[in-house]
Parts: sequence; structure tokens; C-alpha cells
Amino acid sequence: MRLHSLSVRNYRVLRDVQVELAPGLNLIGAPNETGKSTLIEAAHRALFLKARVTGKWREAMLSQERADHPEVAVSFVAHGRTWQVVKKFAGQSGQCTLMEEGGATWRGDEAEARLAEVLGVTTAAGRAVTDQWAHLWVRQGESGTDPTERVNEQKGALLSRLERVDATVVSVMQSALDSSLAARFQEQQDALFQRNGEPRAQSPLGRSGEEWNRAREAVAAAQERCAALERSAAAYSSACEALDRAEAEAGVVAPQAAGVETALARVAELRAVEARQALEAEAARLHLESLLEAERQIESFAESTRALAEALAPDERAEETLALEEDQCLGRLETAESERVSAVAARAAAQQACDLAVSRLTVMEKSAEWHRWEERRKVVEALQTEDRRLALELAALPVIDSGALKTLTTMEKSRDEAAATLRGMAAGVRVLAADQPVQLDGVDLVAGEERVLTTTAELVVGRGVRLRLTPGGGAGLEAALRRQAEADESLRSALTSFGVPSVTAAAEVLDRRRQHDGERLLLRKRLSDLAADELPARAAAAAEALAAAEVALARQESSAAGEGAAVPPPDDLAAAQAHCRQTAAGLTAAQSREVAAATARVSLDKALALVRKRRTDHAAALAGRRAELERARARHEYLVSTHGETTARQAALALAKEAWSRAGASLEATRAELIALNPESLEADRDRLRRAIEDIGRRRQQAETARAIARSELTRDGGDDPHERLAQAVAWERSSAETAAHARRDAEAIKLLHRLFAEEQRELAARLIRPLAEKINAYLECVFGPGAEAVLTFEDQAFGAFALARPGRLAGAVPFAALSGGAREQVAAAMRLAMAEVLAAGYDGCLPLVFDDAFAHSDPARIQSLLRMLDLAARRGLQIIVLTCTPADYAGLGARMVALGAP
Amino acid sequence: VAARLLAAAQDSSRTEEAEIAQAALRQLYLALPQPAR
Repeated sequence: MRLHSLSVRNYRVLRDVQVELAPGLNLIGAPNETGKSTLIEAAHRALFLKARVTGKWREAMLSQERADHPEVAVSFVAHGRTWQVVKKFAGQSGQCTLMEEGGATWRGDEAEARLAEVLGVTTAAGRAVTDQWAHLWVRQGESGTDPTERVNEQKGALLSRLERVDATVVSVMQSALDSSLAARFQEQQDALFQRNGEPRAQSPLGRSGEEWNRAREAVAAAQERCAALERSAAAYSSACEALDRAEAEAGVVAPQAAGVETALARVAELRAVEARQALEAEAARLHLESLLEAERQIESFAESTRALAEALAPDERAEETLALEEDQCLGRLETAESERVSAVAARAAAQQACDLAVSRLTVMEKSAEWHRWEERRKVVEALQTEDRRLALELAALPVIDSGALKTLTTMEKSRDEAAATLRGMAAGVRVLAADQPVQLDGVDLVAGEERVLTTTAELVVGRGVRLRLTPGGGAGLEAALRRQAEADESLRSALTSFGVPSVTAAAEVLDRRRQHDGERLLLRKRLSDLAADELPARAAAAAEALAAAEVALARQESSAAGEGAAVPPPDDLAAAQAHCRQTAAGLTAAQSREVAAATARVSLDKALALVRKRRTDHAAALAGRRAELERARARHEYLVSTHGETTARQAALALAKEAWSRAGASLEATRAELIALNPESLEADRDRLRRAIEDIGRRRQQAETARAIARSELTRDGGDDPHERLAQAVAWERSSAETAAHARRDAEAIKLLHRLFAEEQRELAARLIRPLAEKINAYLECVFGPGAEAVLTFEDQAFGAFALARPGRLAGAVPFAALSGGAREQVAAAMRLAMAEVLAAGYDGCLPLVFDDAFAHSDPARIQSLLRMLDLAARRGLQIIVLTCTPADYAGLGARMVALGAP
Repeated sequence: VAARLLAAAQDSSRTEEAEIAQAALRQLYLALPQPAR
């Protein structure tokens, strides 16, 4: 079946479109929203949707702009003839016409039925229109979905075509006997085994296994029973033997233990006697030792009393020597003290004479200094008087400085220049000689007098002559006059302000001011050199110092007495200085003498203190030794009074020695008897024998218990023969083991049969679908390169999930769902093309495949590979219709380009 | 399947597998339709 042409009118956005299609490759390229998908959908509806359809199917076809009914005409080739179907979707009055070229024409339902027959489709109720030829019509958004469902939809048609390739396979696969046997063995295996391979409990295999387990448990129990009885018999005889051994050992050990106990009782008795005798011997020894100690002390104190009395005599002589030495030290100390007092008095007199000489010298020096300051004060007063005089004179002069003089000179110059200018313009009148009175503007003008006329003036000569004189210059003369008047006024005003009559006088005043300033400057320099500012304070300080020195001198002179006052005051400063040096030398000598006397006194003090300390120490030691002598005498007298005189003490000592000797002999005899009995060995023997008796008793008790238990075991449950029971259990185990082996072998046989049937069926299925897989591989190699192949399975009468295997990929075959978006589009297209190629055998070797924007996820390089795949499909007889909004990507396809204009 | 079972049943070197194959042959024979039965 091959589409030839399409004509669409009033179908949604399409007003009136006619398209001619090539037998092989076709490319419908147009921008979005231009009606590509609508065009191909209209063709699909014309082929598979009845013309009298109503409801949502028809409403989906209607144009929003036009009220006319949608109308679609499709021309196609099928079964070697050309057909044209025309459908007008007008609801209940829809029309369908099918025309066979050069043949009959069908209308209405007959046309619909004939069309379905030609296309080889069923129009069963409930089958969605969109499912018709869905394996050939790839709509937008469906290109990447798993095509396995579409393959299984076409499973019947595909197997129908494939069985023609290998009819044997299909005949076997579809054999009723084969199917029943496979189902039987499947059922038997399910009855025998669970899903995890373990036997089912209720199956013959499970039951026989369970019985075998029970038989084995019974054998084990019977064996354990026999062994337990044998162990009990052995235990009984062993316990009897142990009891006999314990009785024999007890007969030996008991007498030994009784003898040891008797010896130990004697040891205890001897130890009591020994303790009492030891106490008596110790008391005798202590008494003897106390007597010996008293004797030793009496002799010791007598000896020490004699020694202390002899040692005391030299100390008492030394005491007298130290007393004499102290008296001598005191005598020397008094002499040194007198010398020191004399030296102190001499130093005080020398100090007084020296102080008086210094005071007199100070008064003379202060007086001389005061006189110097007084003379300087007089000079300063004279200079200050002169300075005040100059200041008064300067204050009386006008205040003119060089700047003011310069200003006045400039103004005078300006006035002179203005006067000169005026004179240059004015006329002059000089009376050289006149015999009549001459008046100029009413003022007499005498001979030789000259006037300068700057304005019009009237000259009267005598009585009859009146002349009007008018100087030249005009306006310039008036300006000169005005400037002169202004300059004259300015100068006059300035002179008045400075208080001088003329500029010359101002220059003189300035000279005088400068002279006075110079003189005052010199005066101030001299005053500064004389420190005039500090002079009063210094003069006052000198006077004050002089007065203080005089007061101090008067006080010293009044307090001085004797030879110091007898010395007359010096006549001048040099004599005072000489006297002062003389008294200072005397003072130094007196101070040296005082220091020597004080040093001697201190050394004598130290010597006296040393002697006194030695005497004190010696006296303390002497007193200690005297006290010690007294204590020794008192102790000796006390001991003698207590213990008696020498004869009585000797008798008591002899008695004490005899008593101590007797007690020691008794104690030694008792201890010898104790040693002979060897008490430590006896106690060890008693412990050892007690342990032996306890051990014998314990073993006897254990043997009696074991014998009772064994006897109980042997007498319990004695109704049957355990060896016979064991033989029965062994026979049961053998029988059940054989049964279980048979059941297991039969079960394994069922499992083997099931596996062999499944393997054979898989092999047949692989042979059946091999042509389809080979076609898919051819298309996949166009895209993914040589070696790419499809992993396709057919089990349980259905195609399984698809996977893609590529050479060099370590991950193995990749399931369809795990592929990338682009790879899913390409693999799904390969499967659709291969399926269409197989199915095309029933449609004159051709079927149309529509790819509506089906490769949106493929990159440009992969699209070039896709072009090879599509071209291969066209070369193998399929009609390919590609819809795209990017036709440039398919430029290399070599397809008929079908352009759509604006709708 | 019967051919493969027969070959295995006659393999004397593998006793247990041969016994299982013989049992499987017996099961297969019993499963086949028997006109007389």
C-alpha cells in the first residue's frame, strides 16, 4: 500500500491543500503552526474514521473560521490498483466514496467496509481510531516510547508473515500435543517445587523426604537410648568400686588421726606450763636487773660527785680573774671619757672663734656689695631722668615720620606743578613805570610789581583808562586753575593736620625726632646693660643680706665670752679673710682631737662589754656546774637511803641471782619436752589426716549418688529391648530412604522434562523471530555502526522487552528504558521500519511510515546516520513521510520536498 | 526432547543423570496419549 496524493479542505487550519507524494522518500517541511501534523492526521482520519462520525471526533476536525464541513480525499495504490477515497465529515449526513481506478465505485457503508478490506484492518467496536496503524504512524511526542507494545499489537500479523519463512518452527510451536506436554510438565513441576526450588511439603517428594527425616531421627534416638543404658551400667560398677576403695582407706587413716589428737593434747598442756614458768623467770630476771641497776647508779653518782667537785675549783679562780679584769677596764674608760669631754670643749671653742671670724668677714663682704649696688643705682637714676626729658621733648614735636614727609613732599610737588602749568597759560602784568596810579581789579599796582592774570581782570590807569585783560587758554586755563586750587587746598589741609606750617618745617621736625630716637636708644642700651629693671630688687637684697649678717655678728659677739671676744675686729677685708683661715685651721685640729677621743672611748666600751659578757657567761656556767654537783649528791643520798648500805645490798643481790637461776632451769626442762613432741609436725599431720578423711567421705558420697542414679536408669523403662527397637528404626530408615530416592529421581525427571521443553521452545522462538531481528540489525547498523544488534525475545507467546547491544561496550546490552532520549527515538524507528518491512509482504511489499517530528532529540550528526536508515527503508520498498520544522537538517535525504504555505 | 533423554539414559559414565533421564523417559511415555488406554 502506497499513498499517492492528499487533498484536504476545511479541516481545522487547512482551507484547501493538495499534496502529491513520491513512492519512496517524502519530506514535508514547514514552520510550526502551518498544519503539517493536521495534514497527515486528516489523511489518517480519511482512511480509518467513518464519514458519519459525530461528537468529539468531528468537532476536533472543524475549522474555527469556516462553517463548511471538513472534506478529505486520499489517493493510494493497493493490491496492484489505484484507489481514491473521498470523505466529507458532515455528521449523520457524512459521505464516503471509494473509487477504484478503471473499476467500480462504492458509497456509504459499503465504501467504508470495502476500504477496511483493502487496507486490511478491522473496525471492531471499542478499537480506538488512533490505534489503527499506530505502528506506522509516529505522532509527535511518541517517537521515544517503547515500541514493544506496538510490536505485540501486530504479533499475529508478524507471526503469520514470519512462519512463511520457517513453517516447521511454527508448526511445532503451535502443536497441541507439544503445548499440552509442556503445560503438564510445568504443572507437575509447580506441584513438586516452590518458586525458590525447595520441594513442596505436601508433594510426594516432600512427604517422602519428611518421612526419611523422621526415620533418621528415630534411628538416632534408638542409638542414643542404647548408649545411655550402657553408660549407666558402666557407671554403676564404677561407683561400687569407688565405695570399696573409700572404706579401705578410712580403716587406715582413722587410727592415725586419733594418735595425733592425743599428742596434740599433751602439747597444749606443756605450753600452759611453759607460759607460767616463763613469767616466773622473767620476774626473777627483772628483780635482779633492778638491783644491779641501783648498784650501778649508786657507784656512778658517787664518782660523778667527786669529779664535779674537783672540776669546780679552776672555774672559781677564773671568776676572780675576770672580776679584776673588769675593774681595770672601767678605770681606763673613765680616763678616755675625760679626754673626750676636754676635746669636745676645745672643738666648741674653736667652732665659736671660727664662726665669729666668718661672720665678721661676711658683714664686710655684704657691706662692700651693698655699696656697689648703691653706686649703680645712682647712675641708673641719672640715665632715666635724661630719658624722660627726651621723651617729653619728643612728645612736644608734631608726629611726622618718613611716610608723612614723603606724602607732604609729593603734595607740594603736585601743587608746584599745577602752579607752573597755570603760569604757563596765564598772562603776566608788570608795571615797568607809571606816572599815574595803576590798579588791577581795584588793587594798586606799583612799579616793578608783577601780577599774573588767570582770569579776566580790569586794569585802570589813571582815571580815564580802563583796560580789560583776558588771559588765553580757555577751558584749559580753568582746569589748571581748578587743579592748582585743589592741590593748594590738599597741601594746606595736610600741613594743618600734621601741625606744621610748611614742608620744610616738617622735614626739620623729622630730623629732630630721629635725633631724639637715637639718643633714647643709646640710653636704653646702657640701662639694659646695667640691669636697671633688676637693680632695685638686687640693691634691696644686698641691704637685707648686710642687715642679716650684722644681726648674726652681733648675736655671736654678745654670746661670745673669753678669748674670742678679746680678739679685736679686723681692719680690712684681707685681714678678715686671713683671720678666718686661721680660725678654720684651729677648728680642724680640734675636730680631729675630738674624733680620736671618741674613737678611744668607743673601743674601751667594746672591751668592757666583752669582759662583762665573758664574766656573765662564766658565772652562768659555774652556777650550772654547782647545781649539777648538788643534784648528784642528792641522788646518791636518795639511792643509799632506799637500798641500804653496801653490806645489805650485796646480800639482796645474791638472793636474787639464785631465784633467777632456778626459774630458768624449770623453763628449759619444759621446753625440751615440747621440742621432743614436735608440735608443728603434729598440727600438719592433723590437717593432712582431716583432709584425707573429708576426701574419703566426699568420694564415698559421690559414689553412692552415682550408684543410685545408675541403678535408677537401669531399672527405669525396662519393658522393651532397646537393641530391638534400634534394629526396627534402622529398617524404617532404609525403607524411607529408598522411597525418598525414588521420589527425588522422579521429581528431578519432571524438572528435567520441563527444562528441556522450555529450552526447545526458546530455540524455536529465536528461529521464528530471527528474520525480524536481522532486519532491525540492518537498520541499527546504519545508525550505531557495524555490530550493533537488537536483543529480542519471544516467550510465552509474546515479544519481551527490547535491548540494544553494541560492540566494545563493557556494560553489555542496554535495556530500551535505559537508553538516552535520542537513542530511544532511533532504536524505536529501526524497530518500526523492520516491523513494517515484514508486514509489507501483505501489502504488495510496501507500507507508508509517517514520522511527525520524530527525531527532536537527535543531534545533527546522528540525523545524518538516520538519513541512511530511512534511505535503506525506502530502497527496501517502504514509503517514508517525514514531517519536520527544520527541513535543512534533511537536505541530504534526497526526498521529495513537499512545502506547505500559510494555511 | 525424547532424543536428548534417550542419549542421556544410555550414558553409563554418569549413573545418576542416566537414572533421572530414564525416569524422565518413563514420565514422557506416560504423558503421551495411549490409544489403548
